[in-house]
Amino acid sequence: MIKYRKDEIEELNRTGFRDTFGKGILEIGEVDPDVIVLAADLSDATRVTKFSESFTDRYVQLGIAEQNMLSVASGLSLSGKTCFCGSFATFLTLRGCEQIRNDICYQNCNVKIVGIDSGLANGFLGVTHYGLEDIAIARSIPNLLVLSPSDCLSLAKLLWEIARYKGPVYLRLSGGKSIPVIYKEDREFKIGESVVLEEGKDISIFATGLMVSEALKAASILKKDRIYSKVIDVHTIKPIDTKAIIVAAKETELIVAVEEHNLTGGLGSAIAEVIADHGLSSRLLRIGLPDKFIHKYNSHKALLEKYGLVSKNIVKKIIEGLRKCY
Amino acid sequence: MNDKKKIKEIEEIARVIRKNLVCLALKAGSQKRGAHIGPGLSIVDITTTLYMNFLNYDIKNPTWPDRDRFILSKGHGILGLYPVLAEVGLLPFDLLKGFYNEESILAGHPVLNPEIGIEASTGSLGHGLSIAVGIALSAKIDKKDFHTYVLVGDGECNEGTIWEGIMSARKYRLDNLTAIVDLNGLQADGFTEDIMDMDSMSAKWGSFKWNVINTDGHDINSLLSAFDKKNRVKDIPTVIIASTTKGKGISFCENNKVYHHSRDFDREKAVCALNELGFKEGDIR
Repeated sequence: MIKYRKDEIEELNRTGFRDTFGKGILEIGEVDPDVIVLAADLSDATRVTKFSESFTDRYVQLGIAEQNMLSVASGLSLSGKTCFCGSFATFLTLRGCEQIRNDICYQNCNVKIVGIDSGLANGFLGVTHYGLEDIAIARSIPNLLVLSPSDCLSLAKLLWEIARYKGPVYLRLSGGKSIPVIYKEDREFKIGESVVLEEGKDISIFATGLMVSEALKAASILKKDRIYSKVIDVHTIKPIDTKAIIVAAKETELIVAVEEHNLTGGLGSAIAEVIADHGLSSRLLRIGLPDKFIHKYNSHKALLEKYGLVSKNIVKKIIEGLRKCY
Repeated sequence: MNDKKKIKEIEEIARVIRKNLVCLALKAGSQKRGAHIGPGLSIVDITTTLYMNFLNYDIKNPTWPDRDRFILSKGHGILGLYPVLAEVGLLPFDLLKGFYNEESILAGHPVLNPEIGIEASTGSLGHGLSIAVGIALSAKIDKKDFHTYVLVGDGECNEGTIWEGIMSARKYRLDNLTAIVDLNGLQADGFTEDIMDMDSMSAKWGSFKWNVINTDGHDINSLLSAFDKKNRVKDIPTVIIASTTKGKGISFCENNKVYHHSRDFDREKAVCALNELGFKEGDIR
């Protein structure tokens, strides 16, 4: 396991999720000769060109054909390979949905599906390139783990866990550079175990991906109003950390879920399922994107602002939510 | 020139396979459960010839890593595979007897289980060829000599992913991959030329620079020649375009789309079918 110094962690986050993935997969490829990387004409975007140059016989470029890429990966995996397939989150989970379900998950193949630029990261490219349903789709397929790291250290570390895990994984990545640092120092992460970043007695904010950073900012604003928040990084959405949700339901009066995803079927839904299944009486506030197509094309940052996925709006919704609690 | 004795032997086994296929169809029909009868009958001579003469496997060690692979991409042809696997000793006959019983592990489409010779889960069309490409590619990467066979339907070739698979096999020079197209001319809704006319299947695969071999998919002598290793070309995948008849061997099933998937294959029909195949009612197992 590679350890990162503080300056290396900062550098990872400066370069973003794509570069961190590209660097990580290269390191994993060096130690695991069974790792194969597959591309569907997005090798630059997924940053696997260095891997392709270093391991020419373990790199498979299939052109603009995501479905074929996913099925070919399942075939490779049936012969013992560990496959990583990268493309835009939406292309993989929507176009390749049946291949993920039947060929990869039903056959329990050791294939890792790496969806870059999820959420609204492809801001200017429009709805066809937004990845807002991927968690819902991936979560509903048996055998498939769903991971969504909040920053580049957690990605770098979890990538090794994913490579070691025998079975299908969907890895949801955001786009862009200069990712807000959540973890300043090296640490380990375990698949399925969320991380409590801040303790608080009043509310529990569960967030995933880039929303973890906004949740932390929201918590510090709320603190000024003497509302104390527990902030939890849900880097693994499936299996969901049931224990953490049960604890939050018992200890705090409001659970908040924040995600850059359609409100239907995402993190908030996963938490609602735990609340329902365990007979918990906790109130749940879900913050995410509305169940409609977003006809706005702007920078990622501007879209997040417009759709309320920034700390200021999260705070507003939480205060409204708390009022409804009484 | 192929050995006449061998041809006779495979023909006879194919006749027995068809008899066992009828028994499976009856097990389904007697419970008012549907089974794909025509698609199974269509491929029997192909699967029998492959398993009797070409595929390299070890029934004592079915998951032997160096075994040849056979993927039934047109998963609805499964009635043309289970009896073959049983005949060669990969699948216990008892499992055939329990087909479609509540606890049976044999579904109406293949479910991955190399222990009994099922190399991939298929059913939704257009997947198996790409899976086979992955398996053949892994053999190339690992410098292994095993061969991968994949059987697709002509109707299945309506699926765009088939052509994605075709392109990738050629790109990666998979001469260790042989595809077989079951060219029976009939799909669920009717004749292929009416549903989606694909014109010349040979010309289409040939235009993607595959090594194309045309054969009669029911003539064992022709099949033995078509699958002969000497027809393979270095660095190029091979496709065998096998002209077949859907429902082959049972007159009332032949070219009859009703038997693409039928729920009413009752005892009377089964006896009639067995008689045509040269068997009697007492042969029902």
